[in-house]
Amino acid sequence: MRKNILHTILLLGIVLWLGGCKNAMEEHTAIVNVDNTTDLLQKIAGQANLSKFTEYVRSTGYDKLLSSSQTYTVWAPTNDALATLDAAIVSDPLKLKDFVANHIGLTATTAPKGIADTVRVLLQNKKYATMIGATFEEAAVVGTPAFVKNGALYVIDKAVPTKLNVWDFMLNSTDAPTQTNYIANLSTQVIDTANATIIGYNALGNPIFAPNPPMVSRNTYWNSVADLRTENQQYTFFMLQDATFTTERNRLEPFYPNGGAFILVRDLVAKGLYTLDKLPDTLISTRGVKIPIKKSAIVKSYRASNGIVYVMNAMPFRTKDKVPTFKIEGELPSGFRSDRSGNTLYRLKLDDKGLPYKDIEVYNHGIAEYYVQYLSTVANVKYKVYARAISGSPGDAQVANFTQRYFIFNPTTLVYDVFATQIVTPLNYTEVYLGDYTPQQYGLLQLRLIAANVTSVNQNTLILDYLRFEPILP
Amino acid sequence: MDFNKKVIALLAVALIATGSWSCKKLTDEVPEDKLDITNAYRNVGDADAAVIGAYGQFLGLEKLYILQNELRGDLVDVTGNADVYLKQLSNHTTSKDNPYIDPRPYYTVILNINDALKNFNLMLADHRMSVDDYNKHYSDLGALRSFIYLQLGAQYGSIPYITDPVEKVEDVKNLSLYPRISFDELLTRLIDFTEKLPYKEVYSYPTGNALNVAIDGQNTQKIFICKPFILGDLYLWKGNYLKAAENYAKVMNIENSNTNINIQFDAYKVVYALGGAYNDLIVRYTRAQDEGALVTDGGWRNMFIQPTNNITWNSEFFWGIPYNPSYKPGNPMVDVCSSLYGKYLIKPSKVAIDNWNAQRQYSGIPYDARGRLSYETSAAGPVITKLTDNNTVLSSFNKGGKWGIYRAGLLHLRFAEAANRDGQSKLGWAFLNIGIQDTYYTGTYLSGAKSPVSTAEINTMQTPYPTTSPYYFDARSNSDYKSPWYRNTGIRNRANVRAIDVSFQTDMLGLEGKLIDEDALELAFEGNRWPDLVRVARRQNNPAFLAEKVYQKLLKAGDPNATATRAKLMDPANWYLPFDWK
Repeated sequence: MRKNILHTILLLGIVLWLGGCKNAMEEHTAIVNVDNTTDLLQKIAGQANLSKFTEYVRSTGYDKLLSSSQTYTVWAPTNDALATLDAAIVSDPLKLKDFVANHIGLTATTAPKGIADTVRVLLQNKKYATMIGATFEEAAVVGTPAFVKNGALYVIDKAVPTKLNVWDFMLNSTDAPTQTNYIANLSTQVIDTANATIIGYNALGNPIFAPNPPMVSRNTYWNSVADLRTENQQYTFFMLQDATFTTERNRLEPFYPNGGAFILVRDLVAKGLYTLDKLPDTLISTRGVKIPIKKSAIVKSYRASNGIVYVMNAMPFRTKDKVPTFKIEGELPSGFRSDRSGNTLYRLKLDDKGLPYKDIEVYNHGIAEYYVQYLSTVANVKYKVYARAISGSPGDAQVANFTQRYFIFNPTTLVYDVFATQIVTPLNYTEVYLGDYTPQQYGLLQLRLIAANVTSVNQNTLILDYLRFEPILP
Repeated sequence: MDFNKKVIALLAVALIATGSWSCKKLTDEVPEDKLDITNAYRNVGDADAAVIGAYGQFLGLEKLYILQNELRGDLVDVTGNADVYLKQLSNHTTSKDNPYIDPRPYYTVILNINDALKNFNLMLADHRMSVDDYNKHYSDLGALRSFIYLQLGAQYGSIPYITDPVEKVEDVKNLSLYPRISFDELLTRLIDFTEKLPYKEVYSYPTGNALNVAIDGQNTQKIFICKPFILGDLYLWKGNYLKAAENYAKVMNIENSNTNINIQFDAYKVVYALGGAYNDLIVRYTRAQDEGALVTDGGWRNMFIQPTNNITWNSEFFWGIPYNPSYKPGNPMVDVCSSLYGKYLIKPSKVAIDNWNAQRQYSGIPYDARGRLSYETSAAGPVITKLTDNNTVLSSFNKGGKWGIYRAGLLHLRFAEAANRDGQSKLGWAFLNIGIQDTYYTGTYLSGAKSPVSTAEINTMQTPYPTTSPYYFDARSNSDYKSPWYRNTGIRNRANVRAIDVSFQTDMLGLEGKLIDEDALELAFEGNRWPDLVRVARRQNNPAFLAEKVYQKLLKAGDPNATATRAKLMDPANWYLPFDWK
């Protein structure tokens, strides 16, 4: 009996001892069937049908990489696949190195689970490749991948030459020279801050550079539309053949004198990869404008490393999409006559239909002709202008009628001209037609919402939900 | 025993010994600052220590209390980080091994209190403690035990009501044989016990008592349970609404004769703001109508962020226990609620957020700002801030805060619930909406302002009851004279949201529903929801009242168990957690 107790205690002690300090970190997952006796280079070299690729790996110096302790994945084309490889690649050491790099990715990549499962991998030449099911870009994977001590090896049935990105393709292409030249020349020179010498700092803490700092060229297309050089994004880009480009630009020119081309090209990029079979009849550009697409107008397409390029012989943009109706939101002013922030209310309210709206109210500010300033851009076309200004809603002390005026800057005379006078009546939730506005020119619109010329409360109030500018199109 | 056996035995002992050391924690050591039972309870100082010790243990119940009372209700939901046990608690599918349904933590505190009460009796018999000290200490811990039992009853239904001391919780093997009594029987016994306590004042220890001190930027006066409130709660559960109202009213009127007129007019009275610290408890905007101008470091939120020695906090709270970030345990709700400094296990439910968004403010802002002041939106999702608010910013090194339990908002809503059931719907409506004066005044108005022209008109500013009635509230005021309740403004007014329709002044069942709705807006996450739902569903004998609310939470969260849970909760037997000693 005593012995039993002793045994039990002993057993318990061991169990506690073993179980007590269990560490979750000790549990791990592992890829099964790993051949830990060989490395990637040996594995590739050991396969007769990969001898050509082995030769390229050695000649480009990637053999050191593939026998190192870091893990990699290699998609190796067979000898048959490499037999048809462009001689220009084989003969140029730089191109060949890039070609080999286009088949090697960092870390061991496991194959996608299902036939539609997608894996994006970063390759050694900074390009991204897509594996969908048992494919690697346009090549098919042969057999099952082999896992060795420093990575994984897939055998593929086609060589996969490095693809250009959308931007480089555009620059190298001769399919749409007018458009390409236009976009390529949208460059500006900026200070190369990485290489410029800083000789001091100004009062704001900004650096002062030595005279004649080094400059680099930046294309405004990259930041104002889309940076088509980015490898880790995917874009669908349209190139218009010369005749189409000219037609479309000329259609926009009356609305945007000397600016038609930019207005045209800034809506030629959509985010995402839309291959021909998945291409809808309308895409939304990066700036939110509808791009009309006729499949019959596609002259050719090119699969880039970061998307797809279509060359088009027609792209009939709708005028109303290119010369759109726009709004100036009251609660998004660009400036004020003076600081009356204590009287400036950014309001969230419900309208008569129970829908929320945001607006601005400047109440009891005590300044005659106080104003709120707004900025926007207008095309060279006549607009119908509507305003929505709601007073007297719950919580609003402004229950009496009041008058507010709208002034618009005249770039010819350099003064603000009165555009409209609005008598705001309580609880009027509908838009009020203010009048027609014909801009002097295409470009900046500077507008002021100006209070009555009195200092008294309830008379010099300003309220604006929004102004709506609706172009009168031919 | 031959030599080999000896060696084996020695080795075995050595092995066991190393085994028991290998994972030894510092906490296993006998602490030098704790008393052994043999020399505890020598004088009143030891009694003080027993009380503080019991409250220290009680503080450890907050996490369980909040999780059971909120997660089972409709206002709190689990996040993706929550484990399966919390999810079970939330959708009412708890399995037997769920640690959050274990009643033992409650009984650990109860048995400790039982032991202290027994020793208090012995101390009294041996004259180691004065009768006065005995009355206060005994009543304090006795009322605290009633509070824990009420929580147990609301969560588990029938439970063992143990009032004898047991030296250790591990001795509770035979406690499982203890007879269990029904919830109703439990309420009867709790009322009997609590009512017979010798000291039933609002504050457990008056000024000058060693337990009522200022320490570490906090004040201990209100870390002890408010006895009239727990009595009021017990009567409210039991259905004795007049007695409930009497007890609640005792708290509401406790400061009526305070010589500090700010405390007299503001403490526990839910008042409008007059620009002073005593009444900065309203939802406040620096610019009306402008939602961006919401005051988030003052106003209504003051009651959660301020420490217990703060004037504003003291106008609202009458039971709250602070956590000090420098000492254990720290605020356990940081771990549960915070997405930055905790595990972010629970969040406001869609129902709770929708409730706030359905309200309309007088200023036209189309939501109740108490929501914005109770949770914040983060990249991870909505995060409950009410339980982690503190006067210093939350950080990895500062996990302080408070367990705020009883406050004026809760008091007024509970009083309104009792009064409404006792035929005083108009009074309940007044406390819920716009306060006494505006509800009862029938005199002359001059350009929108009350301008009584006679004593008779002034006299309409009080409730029409004898001064001895618990329903008597005097809100009379003019330029010469102010009564204690003249600043009272109502729960909804204080939050700047519009009053509900006056037709509810004569609609008892309707108003009861509205009061529970208001609980969701005013008291969300504070640990009242599930008992509130059970109490009303039980009173109305209407399981659908409770089942529908939980169903809506699960439905809006896309929980596949929603329908099954509603069906389950239609049987009142399933409202209660299984009571297992394990």
